[in-house]
Amino acid sequence: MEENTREIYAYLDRLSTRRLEEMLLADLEDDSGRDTSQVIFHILEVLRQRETTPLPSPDTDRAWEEFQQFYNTPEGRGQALYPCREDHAPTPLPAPKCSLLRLPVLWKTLRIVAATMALLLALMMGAQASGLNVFGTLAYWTDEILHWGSEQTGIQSKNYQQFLNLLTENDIQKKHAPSWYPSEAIAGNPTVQYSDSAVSIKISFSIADSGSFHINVVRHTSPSELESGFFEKDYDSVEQYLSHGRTFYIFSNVNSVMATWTDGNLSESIWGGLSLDDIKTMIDSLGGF
Amino acid sequence: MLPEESDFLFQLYHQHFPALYGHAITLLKLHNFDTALFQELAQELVQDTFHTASEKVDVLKAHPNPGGWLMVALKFKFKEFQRQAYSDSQRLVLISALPRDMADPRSDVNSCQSDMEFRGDAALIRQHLSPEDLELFEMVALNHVSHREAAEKLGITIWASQKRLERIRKDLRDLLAP
Repeated sequence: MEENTREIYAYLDRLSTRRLEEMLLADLEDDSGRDTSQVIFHILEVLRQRETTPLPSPDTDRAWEEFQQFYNTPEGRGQALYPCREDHAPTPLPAPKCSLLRLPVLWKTLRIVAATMALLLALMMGAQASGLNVFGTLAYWTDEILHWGSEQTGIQSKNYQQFLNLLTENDIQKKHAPSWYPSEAIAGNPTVQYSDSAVSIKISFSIADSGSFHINVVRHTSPSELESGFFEKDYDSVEQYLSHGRTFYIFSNVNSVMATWTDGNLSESIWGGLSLDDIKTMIDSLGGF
Repeated sequence: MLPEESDFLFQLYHQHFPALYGHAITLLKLHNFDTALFQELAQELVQDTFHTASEKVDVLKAHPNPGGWLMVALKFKFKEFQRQAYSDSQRLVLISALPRDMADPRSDVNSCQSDMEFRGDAALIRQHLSPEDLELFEMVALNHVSHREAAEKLGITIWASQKRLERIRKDLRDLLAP
Protein backbone atom coordinates (compact mmCIF):
# COMPACT_ATOMS: atom_id res chain seq x y z
CA MET A 1 0.00 0.00 0.00
CA GLU A 2 1.59 3.29 -1.02
CA GLU A 3 2.24 5.72 1.80
CA ASN A 4 0.01 8.47 0.45
CA THR A 5 -2.96 6.17 -0.06
CA ARG A 6 -2.33 4.62 3.35
CA GLU A 7 -2.78 8.05 4.89
CA ILE A 8 -5.86 8.77 2.84
CA TYR A 9 -7.56 5.58 3.97
CA ALA A 10 -6.22 5.56 7.54
CA TYR A 11 -9.74 6.35 8.79
CA LEU A 12 -10.83 2.86 7.76
CA ASP A 13 -8.55 1.39 10.38
CA ARG A 14 -10.51 3.20 13.08
CA LEU A 15 -13.84 1.76 12.01
CA SER A 16 -15.19 -1.38 13.61
CA THR A 17 -15.13 -4.66 11.71
CA ARG A 18 -18.88 -4.66 11.60
CA ARG A 19 -18.97 -1.19 10.14
CA LEU A 20 -16.47 -2.17 7.46
CA GLU A 21 -18.53 -5.24 6.60
CA GLU A 22 -21.64 -3.06 6.32
CA MET A 23 -19.76 -0.85 3.89
CA LEU A 24 -18.88 -3.87 1.77
CA LEU A 25 -22.51 -4.96 1.69
CA ALA A 26 -23.63 -1.46 0.81
CA ASP A 27 -21.13 -1.37 -2.03
CA LEU A 28 -22.52 -4.66 -3.32
CA GLU A 29 -25.96 -3.07 -3.52
CA ASP A 30 -24.62 -0.13 -5.52
CA ASP A 31 -25.55 -0.81 -9.15
CA SER A 32 -24.21 2.43 -10.52
CA GLY A 33 -21.03 0.79 -11.76
CA ARG A 34 -18.94 3.37 -9.94
CA ASP A 35 -15.43 2.25 -9.25
CA THR A 36 -15.12 2.01 -5.49
CA SER A 37 -12.23 -0.41 -5.80
CA GLN A 38 -9.72 1.73 -3.91
CA VAL A 39 -11.90 1.88 -0.81
CA ILE A 40 -12.82 -1.78 -1.13
CA PHE A 41 -9.21 -2.87 -1.48
CA HIS A 42 -8.30 -0.97 1.67
CA ILE A 43 -11.27 -2.30 3.61
CA LEU A 44 -10.31 -5.86 2.65
CA GLU A 45 -6.73 -5.20 3.74
CA VAL A 46 -7.87 -3.93 7.14
CA LEU A 47 -10.18 -6.93 7.58
CA ARG A 48 -7.43 -9.31 6.55
CA GLN A 49 -5.08 -7.84 9.15
CA ARG A 50 -7.74 -8.26 11.84
CA GLU A 51 -8.54 -11.85 10.98
CA THR A 52 -7.61 -14.09 13.94
CA THR A 53 -7.89 -17.35 12.01
CA PRO A 54 -7.20 -16.44 8.42
CA LEU A 55 -7.87 -18.89 5.65
CA PRO A 56 -4.81 -20.07 3.71
CA SER A 57 -3.75 -17.68 0.99
CA PRO A 58 -4.74 -18.88 -2.45
CA ASP A 59 -2.12 -20.54 -4.61
CA THR A 60 -2.15 -18.04 -7.45
CA ASP A 61 0.16 -20.09 -9.66
CA ARG A 62 -2.03 -23.17 -9.35
CA ALA A 63 -5.14 -21.06 -9.89
CA TRP A 64 -3.59 -19.66 -13.08
CA GLU A 65 -2.88 -23.18 -14.35
CA GLU A 66 -6.46 -24.18 -13.62
CA PHE A 67 -7.67 -21.01 -15.33
CA GLN A 68 -5.76 -21.90 -18.47
CA GLN A 69 -6.74 -25.56 -18.34
CA PHE A 70 -10.43 -25.36 -17.43
CA TYR A 71 -11.78 -21.84 -17.96
CA ASN A 72 -9.78 -20.05 -20.65
CA THR A 73 -10.58 -22.59 -23.36
CA PRO A 74 -12.03 -22.24 -26.86
CA GLU A 75 -15.23 -23.91 -25.61
CA GLY A 76 -15.74 -21.04 -23.20
CA ARG A 77 -15.45 -18.31 -25.80
CA GLY A 78 -18.41 -15.94 -25.49
CA GLN A 79 -19.66 -17.78 -22.41
CA ALA A 80 -19.77 -16.85 -18.75
CA LEU A 81 -20.69 -18.80 -15.66
CA TYR A 82 -22.19 -15.64 -14.16
CA PRO A 83 -22.97 -13.25 -17.03
CA CYS A 84 -22.85 -9.62 -16.05
CA ARG A 85 -23.83 -6.41 -17.73
CA GLU A 86 -21.71 -5.26 -20.65
CA ASP A 87 -21.74 -1.74 -19.32
CA HIS A 88 -20.31 -2.54 -15.92
CA ALA A 89 -16.88 -1.22 -16.82
CA PRO A 90 -16.09 1.63 -14.48
CA THR A 91 -15.34 5.08 -15.73
CA PRO A 92 -11.84 6.40 -15.11
CA LEU A 93 -11.34 7.76 -11.60
CA PRO A 94 -9.46 10.80 -10.47
CA ALA A 95 -6.78 10.35 -7.82
CA PRO A 96 -8.14 8.81 -4.64
CA LYS A 97 -9.63 11.26 -2.21
CA CYS A 98 -10.47 10.91 1.42
CA SER A 99 -14.15 10.18 1.30
CA LEU A 100 -16.43 7.73 2.95
CA LEU A 101 -18.72 5.64 0.86
CA ARG A 102 -22.01 7.48 0.86
CA LEU A 103 -24.38 5.34 2.87
CA PRO A 104 -27.25 7.62 3.76
CA VAL A 105 -29.71 4.79 4.20
CA LEU A 106 -27.31 2.78 6.36
CA TRP A 107 -26.52 5.69 8.65
CA LYS A 108 -30.20 6.52 9.02
CA THR A 109 -30.91 2.90 9.89
CA LEU A 110 -28.15 2.87 12.48
CA ARG A 111 -29.49 6.04 14.07
CA ILE A 112 -32.98 4.56 14.21
CA VAL A 113 -31.68 1.36 15.80
CA ALA A 114 -29.74 3.33 18.40
CA ALA A 115 -32.77 5.49 19.12
CA THR A 116 -35.00 2.45 19.42
CA MET A 117 -32.70 0.76 21.88
CA ALA A 118 -32.46 3.92 23.97
CA LEU A 119 -36.26 4.13 24.03
CA LEU A 120 -36.51 0.46 24.97
CA LEU A 121 -34.14 0.97 27.88
CA ALA A 122 -36.09 4.01 29.02
CA LEU A 123 -39.34 2.03 28.91
CA MET A 124 -37.74 -0.79 30.88
CA MET A 125 -36.61 1.63 33.56
CA GLY A 126 -40.07 3.17 33.70
CA ALA A 127 -41.77 -0.21 33.98
CA GLN A 128 -39.39 -1.31 36.72
CA ALA A 129 -40.04 1.90 38.65
CA SER A 130 -43.80 1.29 38.42
CA GLY A 131 -43.45 -2.06 40.09
CA LEU A 132 -43.18 -4.52 37.19
CA ASN A 133 -40.33 -6.96 37.66
CA VAL A 134 -38.85 -6.28 34.26
CA PHE A 135 -35.33 -7.05 35.30
CA GLY A 136 -36.46 -10.17 37.08
CA THR A 137 -36.69 -11.89 33.75
CA LEU A 138 -33.57 -13.32 32.26
CA ALA A 139 -32.03 -10.83 29.87
CA TYR A 140 -28.86 -11.27 27.89
CA TRP A 141 -27.25 -9.67 24.88
CA THR A 142 -25.79 -11.33 21.87
CA ASP A 143 -23.97 -9.42 19.17
CA GLU A 144 -27.18 -8.42 17.50
CA ILE A 145 -30.23 -9.59 19.39
CA LEU A 146 -31.59 -8.80 22.83
CA HIS A 147 -33.03 -11.96 24.30
CA TRP A 148 -35.70 -11.97 26.96
CA GLY A 149 -36.50 -15.17 28.66
CA SER A 150 -37.99 -16.59 31.78
CA GLU A 151 -38.33 -19.97 33.29
CA GLN A 152 -41.57 -20.41 31.33
CA THR A 153 -40.47 -18.97 28.02
CA GLY A 154 -37.27 -18.82 26.02
CA ILE A 155 -34.70 -21.40 25.17
CA GLN A 156 -34.14 -22.08 28.87
CA SER A 157 -37.68 -23.40 29.27
CA LYS A 158 -37.99 -26.96 30.46
CA ASN A 159 -39.82 -28.10 27.32
CA TYR A 160 -37.30 -26.57 24.94
CA GLN A 161 -34.44 -28.11 26.89
CA GLN A 162 -36.24 -31.43 26.58
CA PHE A 163 -36.47 -30.85 22.81
CA LEU A 164 -32.71 -30.27 22.72
CA ASN A 165 -32.12 -33.43 24.73
CA LEU A 166 -34.27 -35.45 22.33
CA LEU A 167 -32.14 -34.20 19.44
CA THR A 168 -28.97 -35.30 21.19
CA GLU A 169 -30.43 -38.67 22.14
CA ASN A 170 -31.21 -39.29 18.49
CA ASP A 171 -27.76 -38.34 17.19
CA ILE A 172 -28.78 -34.87 16.04
CA GLN A 173 -26.50 -32.04 17.10
CA LYS A 174 -28.08 -29.18 19.04
CA LYS A 175 -26.72 -26.76 16.48
CA HIS A 176 -29.67 -27.74 14.31
CA ALA A 177 -32.07 -26.19 16.81
CA PRO A 178 -32.70 -22.45 16.84
CA SER A 179 -31.11 -20.71 19.82
CA TRP A 180 -33.76 -18.00 19.59
CA TYR A 181 -37.48 -17.85 19.18
CA PRO A 182 -40.02 -15.11 20.02
CA SER A 183 -39.91 -14.47 23.72
CA GLU A 184 -43.66 -14.47 24.11
CA ALA A 185 -43.98 -18.00 22.71
CA ILE A 186 -44.74 -20.83 25.11
CA ALA A 187 -43.08 -24.14 24.19
CA GLY A 188 -45.18 -27.26 24.35
CA ASN A 189 -44.05 -30.79 25.01
CA PRO A 190 -41.76 -32.06 22.27
CA THR A 191 -42.63 -35.29 20.47
CA VAL A 192 -40.56 -37.87 18.65
CA GLN A 193 -41.74 -40.26 15.96
CA TYR A 194 -39.85 -43.22 14.61
CA SER A 195 -40.32 -44.87 11.25
CA ASP A 196 -38.29 -47.30 9.17
CA SER A 197 -36.59 -44.45 7.35
CA ALA A 198 -36.49 -41.52 9.71
CA VAL A 199 -36.60 -40.07 13.19
CA SER A 200 -38.74 -36.94 13.47
CA ILE A 201 -38.57 -34.62 16.47
CA LYS A 202 -41.09 -31.83 16.72
CA ILE A 203 -41.94 -29.06 19.14
CA SER A 204 -44.87 -26.67 18.94
CA PHE A 205 -45.23 -23.22 20.40
CA SER A 206 -48.25 -21.10 21.23
CA ILE A 207 -48.36 -17.33 21.03
CA ALA A 208 -51.23 -15.26 22.31
CA ASP A 209 -53.14 -13.63 19.41
CA SER A 210 -50.83 -15.21 16.80
CA GLY A 211 -51.70 -18.84 17.08
CA SER A 212 -48.83 -21.26 16.93
CA PHE A 213 -45.67 -22.27 15.19
CA HIS A 214 -43.63 -25.45 15.00
CA ILE A 215 -40.09 -26.73 14.60
CA ASN A 216 -39.48 -30.15 13.11
CA VAL A 217 -36.09 -31.83 12.69
CA VAL A 218 -35.84 -35.10 10.79
CA ARG A 219 -32.87 -37.44 10.62
CA HIS A 220 -33.12 -39.80 7.70
CA THR A 221 -31.64 -43.16 8.59
CA SER A 222 -30.79 -44.00 5.02
CA PRO A 223 -30.15 -41.50 2.22
CA SER A 224 -31.49 -44.03 -0.26
CA GLU A 225 -34.79 -43.94 1.62
CA LEU A 226 -34.95 -40.18 1.40
CA GLU A 227 -38.26 -39.11 -0.03
CA SER A 228 -36.96 -36.17 -1.93
CA GLY A 229 -38.78 -34.33 -4.56
CA PHE A 230 -39.88 -30.99 -5.76
CA PHE A 231 -43.06 -29.10 -5.97
CA GLU A 232 -44.03 -25.95 -7.64
CA LYS A 233 -44.46 -22.93 -5.44
CA ASP A 234 -46.27 -19.74 -5.91
CA TYR A 235 -43.73 -17.42 -7.50
CA ASP A 236 -44.43 -14.51 -5.25
CA SER A 237 -44.12 -16.36 -1.99
CA VAL A 238 -40.84 -18.23 -2.19
CA GLU A 239 -37.57 -16.81 -1.04
CA GLN A 240 -34.19 -18.36 -0.78
CA TYR A 241 -32.47 -17.41 2.45
CA LEU A 242 -28.82 -18.23 2.92
CA SER A 243 -27.58 -18.55 6.47
CA HIS A 244 -24.53 -20.29 7.87
CA GLY A 245 -23.93 -21.99 4.56
CA ARG A 246 -27.41 -23.45 4.39
CA THR A 247 -30.04 -22.58 1.88
CA PHE A 248 -33.42 -22.22 3.50
CA TYR A 249 -36.46 -21.91 1.27
CA ILE A 250 -39.04 -19.62 2.80
CA PHE A 251 -42.53 -19.45 1.44
CA SER A 252 -45.69 -18.00 2.77
CA ASN A 253 -49.39 -17.82 2.25
CA VAL A 254 -51.96 -15.56 3.80
CA ASN A 255 -51.81 -16.99 7.28
CA SER A 256 -48.46 -18.64 7.76
CA VAL A 257 -44.84 -18.77 6.76
CA MET A 258 -42.64 -21.81 6.33
CA ALA A 259 -38.90 -22.29 6.07
CA THR A 260 -37.30 -25.56 5.14
CA TRP A 261 -33.79 -26.95 4.63
CA THR A 262 -32.20 -30.31 4.03
CA ASP A 263 -28.76 -31.73 3.28
CA GLY A 264 -29.97 -35.20 2.38
CA ASN A 265 -29.42 -36.66 5.84
CA LEU A 266 -31.11 -34.04 7.97
CA SER A 267 -34.14 -31.93 7.26
CA GLU A 268 -35.50 -29.03 9.20
CA SER A 269 -38.70 -27.06 8.98
CA ILE A 270 -40.03 -24.06 10.86
CA TRP A 271 -43.58 -23.03 10.12
CA GLY A 272 -46.66 -21.34 11.51
CA GLY A 273 -47.81 -17.91 12.63
CA LEU A 274 -44.45 -16.17 12.48
CA SER A 275 -43.35 -13.03 10.77
CA LEU A 276 -40.72 -13.23 8.07
CA ASP A 277 -38.32 -11.36 10.31
CA ASP A 278 -38.86 -13.75 13.19
CA ILE A 279 -38.40 -16.84 11.07
CA LYS A 280 -35.19 -15.44 9.62
CA THR A 281 -33.94 -14.57 13.09
CA MET A 282 -34.63 -18.15 14.15
CA ILE A 283 -32.74 -19.43 11.12
CA ASP A 284 -29.81 -17.15 11.86
CA SER A 285 -29.73 -18.40 15.44
CA LEU A 286 -28.98 -21.96 14.32
CA GLY A 287 -25.58 -23.06 15.51
CA GLY A 288 -25.90 -20.99 18.66
CA PHE A 289 -25.72 -24.01 20.94
CA MET B 1 -4.99 -13.77 -28.15
CA LEU B 2 -1.83 -11.99 -29.14
CA PRO B 3 1.33 -12.79 -27.16
CA GLU B 4 1.48 -9.33 -25.61
CA GLU B 5 -2.18 -9.61 -24.60
CA SER B 6 -1.46 -13.01 -23.06
CA ASP B 7 1.45 -11.54 -21.13
CA PHE B 8 -0.74 -8.66 -20.00
CA LEU B 9 -3.41 -11.07 -18.77
CA PHE B 10 -0.79 -13.14 -16.95
CA GLN B 11 0.53 -10.06 -15.15
CA LEU B 12 -2.98 -8.83 -14.37
CA TYR B 13 -3.97 -12.23 -13.00
CA HIS B 14 -1.00 -12.57 -10.67
CA GLN B 15 -1.30 -8.99 -9.51
CA HIS B 16 -4.99 -9.01 -8.67
CA PHE B 17 -6.05 -12.62 -8.07
CA PRO B 18 -5.32 -12.61 -4.29
CA ALA B 19 -7.30 -9.43 -3.65
CA LEU B 20 -10.22 -10.55 -5.79
CA TYR B 21 -10.25 -13.94 -4.09
CA GLY B 22 -10.24 -12.17 -0.72
CA HIS B 23 -13.20 -10.08 -1.83
CA ALA B 24 -15.14 -13.12 -3.05
CA ILE B 25 -14.48 -15.01 0.18
CA THR B 26 -15.53 -11.96 2.23
CA LEU B 27 -18.76 -11.54 0.25
CA LEU B 28 -19.60 -15.20 0.77
CA LYS B 29 -18.85 -14.86 4.47
CA LEU B 30 -21.08 -11.80 4.76
CA HIS B 31 -23.86 -13.83 3.18
CA ASN B 32 -23.44 -16.52 5.83
CA PHE B 33 -21.52 -19.07 3.78
CA ASP B 34 -19.05 -21.17 5.72
CA THR B 35 -15.95 -19.93 3.94
CA ALA B 36 -13.96 -23.03 4.87
CA LEU B 37 -16.40 -25.06 2.77
CA PHE B 38 -16.92 -22.66 -0.14
CA GLN B 39 -13.38 -21.71 -1.12
CA GLU B 40 -13.83 -23.43 -4.48
CA LEU B 41 -16.94 -21.35 -5.12
CA ALA B 42 -15.06 -18.15 -4.27
CA GLN B 43 -12.24 -19.14 -6.59
CA GLU B 44 -14.68 -19.91 -9.39
CA LEU B 45 -16.25 -16.46 -9.11
CA VAL B 46 -12.79 -14.98 -9.58
CA GLN B 47 -11.91 -17.37 -12.43
CA ASP B 48 -15.09 -16.35 -14.24
CA THR B 49 -14.14 -12.71 -13.69
CA PHE B 50 -10.79 -13.27 -15.37
CA HIS B 51 -12.44 -15.28 -18.11
CA THR B 52 -14.60 -12.26 -18.89
CA ALA B 53 -11.48 -10.10 -18.67
CA SER B 54 -9.68 -12.36 -21.14
CA GLU B 55 -12.31 -11.48 -23.74
CA LYS B 56 -11.86 -7.76 -23.08
CA VAL B 57 -8.08 -7.61 -22.93
CA ASP B 58 -7.96 -4.77 -25.44
CA VAL B 59 -10.30 -2.72 -23.24
CA LEU B 60 -8.33 -3.48 -20.11
CA LYS B 61 -4.98 -2.64 -21.66
CA ALA B 62 -6.25 0.86 -22.34
CA HIS B 63 -8.07 1.22 -19.01
CA PRO B 64 -6.58 3.53 -16.37
CA ASN B 65 -7.59 1.20 -13.55
CA PRO B 66 -7.76 -2.48 -14.64
CA GLY B 67 -7.83 -3.62 -11.01
CA GLY B 68 -10.89 -1.51 -10.42
CA TRP B 69 -12.50 -2.89 -13.54
CA LEU B 70 -11.92 -6.42 -12.24
CA MET B 71 -13.33 -5.57 -8.83
CA VAL B 72 -16.52 -4.17 -10.30
CA ALA B 73 -16.80 -7.18 -12.60
CA LEU B 74 -16.47 -9.52 -9.62
CA LYS B 75 -19.17 -7.60 -7.80
CA PHE B 76 -21.59 -8.09 -10.68
CA LYS B 77 -20.59 -11.76 -10.96
CA PHE B 78 -21.47 -12.22 -7.31
CA LYS B 79 -24.81 -10.49 -7.77
CA GLU B 80 -25.53 -12.76 -10.73
CA PHE B 81 -24.67 -15.76 -8.55
CA GLN B 82 -27.18 -14.46 -6.02
CA ARG B 83 -29.81 -13.92 -8.71
CA GLN B 84 -29.36 -17.44 -10.09
CA ALA B 85 -29.61 -18.96 -6.63
CA TYR B 86 -32.75 -17.01 -5.88
CA SER B 87 -34.29 -17.87 -9.23
CA ASP B 88 -33.62 -21.56 -8.63
CA SER B 89 -35.46 -21.38 -5.35
CA GLN B 90 -38.57 -19.82 -6.81
CA ARG B 91 -39.94 -23.11 -8.03
CA LEU B 92 -38.16 -25.86 -6.22
CA VAL B 93 -38.21 -27.02 -2.62
CA LEU B 94 -37.03 -30.33 -1.32
CA ILE B 95 -40.16 -32.09 -0.22
CA SER B 96 -38.29 -34.28 2.25
CA ALA B 97 -38.01 -31.37 4.69
CA LEU B 98 -41.75 -31.17 5.11
CA PRO B 99 -43.55 -33.03 7.90
CA ARG B 100 -46.52 -34.98 6.67
CA ASP B 101 -49.01 -32.99 8.71
CA MET B 102 -47.92 -29.64 7.33
CA ALA B 103 -50.52 -27.48 5.68
CA ASP B 104 -50.30 -27.00 1.96
CA PRO B 105 -48.84 -23.51 1.71
CA ARG B 106 -50.85 -22.98 -1.44
CA SER B 107 -54.07 -23.06 0.47
CA ASP B 108 -55.33 -22.28 3.92
CA VAL B 109 -56.70 -25.79 4.41
CA ASN B 110 -54.86 -28.79 5.77
CA SER B 111 -55.35 -31.45 3.18
CA CYS B 112 -54.03 -34.91 2.55
CA GLN B 113 -54.59 -34.20 -1.11
CA SER B 114 -52.01 -31.43 -1.01
CA ASP B 115 -49.45 -34.01 -0.01
CA MET B 116 -50.41 -36.07 -3.04
CA GLU B 117 -50.08 -33.00 -5.25
CA PHE B 118 -46.56 -32.47 -4.01
CA ARG B 119 -45.66 -36.03 -4.77
CA GLY B 120 -47.23 -35.81 -8.18
CA ASP B 121 -45.01 -32.89 -9.10
CA ALA B 122 -41.99 -34.62 -7.63
CA ALA B 123 -42.64 -37.70 -9.73
CA LEU B 124 -43.15 -35.53 -12.80
CA ILE B 125 -39.82 -33.83 -12.31
CA ARG B 126 -38.03 -37.09 -11.65
CA GLN B 127 -39.50 -38.47 -14.86
CA HIS B 128 -38.46 -35.38 -16.78
CA LEU B 129 -34.90 -34.95 -15.53
CA SER B 130 -32.34 -37.62 -16.13
CA PRO B 131 -30.42 -38.84 -13.07
CA GLU B 132 -27.35 -36.98 -14.35
CA ASP B 133 -29.30 -33.74 -14.76
CA LEU B 134 -30.82 -34.13 -11.32
CA GLU B 135 -27.41 -34.72 -9.81
CA LEU B 136 -25.92 -31.67 -11.53
CA PHE B 137 -28.81 -29.45 -10.50
CA GLU B 138 -28.63 -30.55 -6.88
CA MET B 139 -24.87 -30.04 -6.77
CA VAL B 140 -24.57 -26.64 -8.41
CA ALA B 141 -27.96 -24.97 -8.03
CA LEU B 142 -28.97 -26.21 -4.60
CA ASN B 143 -25.71 -27.01 -2.81
CA HIS B 144 -23.54 -24.33 -4.48
CA VAL B 145 -20.79 -26.69 -5.54
CA SER B 146 -18.54 -25.02 -8.09
CA HIS B 147 -18.94 -25.92 -11.75
CA ARG B 148 -15.35 -27.17 -11.72
CA GLU B 149 -16.04 -29.63 -8.90
CA ALA B 150 -19.31 -30.73 -10.50
CA ALA B 151 -17.68 -31.10 -13.92
CA GLU B 152 -14.86 -33.15 -12.46
CA LYS B 153 -17.32 -35.47 -10.77
CA LEU B 154 -19.46 -35.87 -13.87
CA GLY B 155 -16.53 -36.18 -16.27
CA ILE B 156 -17.48 -33.17 -18.35
CA THR B 157 -15.98 -29.74 -18.98
CA ILE B 158 -16.91 -26.67 -16.98
CA TRP B 159 -18.59 -25.09 -19.97
CA ALA B 160 -20.54 -28.26 -20.67
CA SER B 161 -21.69 -28.16 -17.05
CA GLN B 162 -22.71 -24.52 -17.42
CA LYS B 163 -24.64 -25.14 -20.64
CA ARG B 164 -26.29 -28.22 -19.23
CA LEU B 165 -27.41 -26.29 -16.15
CA GLU B 166 -28.86 -23.53 -18.34
CA ARG B 167 -30.85 -26.14 -20.24
CA ILE B 168 -32.07 -27.76 -17.02
CA ARG B 169 -33.22 -24.42 -15.68
CA LYS B 170 -35.08 -23.65 -18.89
CA ASP B 171 -36.69 -27.10 -18.90
CA LEU B 172 -37.86 -26.67 -15.32
CA ARG B 173 -39.27 -23.24 -16.09
CA ASP B 174 -41.25 -24.70 -18.98
CA LEU B 175 -42.28 -27.77 -17.01
CA LEU B 176 -43.51 -25.91 -13.96
CA ALA B 177 -45.03 -22.91 -15.69
CA PRO B 178 -48.63 -22.35 -14.56
